[in-house]
Amino acid sequence: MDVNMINPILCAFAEIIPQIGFQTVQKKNLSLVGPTFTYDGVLINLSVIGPIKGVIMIGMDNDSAKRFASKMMMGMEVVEFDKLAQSAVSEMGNMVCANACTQYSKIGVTGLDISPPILMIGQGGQATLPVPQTIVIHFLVDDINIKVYVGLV
Amino acid sequence: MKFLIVDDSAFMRTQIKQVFSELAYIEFAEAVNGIEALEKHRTFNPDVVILDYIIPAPDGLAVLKILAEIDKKVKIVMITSLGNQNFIYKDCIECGAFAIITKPIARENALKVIKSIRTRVI
Repeated sequence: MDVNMINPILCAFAEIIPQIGFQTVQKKNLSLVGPTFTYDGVLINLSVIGPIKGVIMIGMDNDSAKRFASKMMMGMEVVEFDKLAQSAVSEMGNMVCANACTQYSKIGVTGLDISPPILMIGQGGQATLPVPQTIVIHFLVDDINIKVYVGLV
Repeated sequence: MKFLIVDDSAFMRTQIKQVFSELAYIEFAEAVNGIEALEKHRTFNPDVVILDYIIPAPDGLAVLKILAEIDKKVKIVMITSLGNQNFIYKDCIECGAFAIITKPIARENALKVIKSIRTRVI
């Protein structure tokens, strides 16, 4: 995948995250990994279909996920990553990826659609994307580290 | 006013209630899928349905079509994350949506909806 094609995803993050209660969104760095990677914590999986196909995954550790959900819920304390907190974080994934589809349409890639978010929680979990290489974008959202895995073709 | 919120996301149902309840006195009912939405519409008799475009079957557009056919008074406000995608706007308006709001729901957009509903209801 052309690395420039991730710009709509960067735009989507920058546009949506401030609207859901966060102050700052910083893109830290990009890296490339193989199709298979391991994760600890929470991974939100959204499939993309249309002229561009594949998967966008958003990952964070358990503590970050609780803090992220807390901010989305206007500071409500999140002790357990319960159903409501899971729903909040999943919805963030949904909103970011849907907005990315809109951003892609602005550069002429129209007709994209996304699946509902699938939330995975685990330690030492392994995900394999249907691409030779996965682009990993590291974001710092306020003080929360987030990794976005992009496997689109 | 009576609002029926239809969204499979618990977080979104909570957020929608928070945003709208700050703007008006509203009695809420909730549904998590299309079947429950149609059932709650029958029993709750809402003035407004806040309906997510993507919900478990029947999907939001199918529910919109049914409600617009059987209840000419209800105002159906579609919500979607797929903002600015013309085909969604076109489908929803053609099928009888009163308004379309993109997620995340901004207070000013909710306020516009409340104002326009009041203008037409009163």
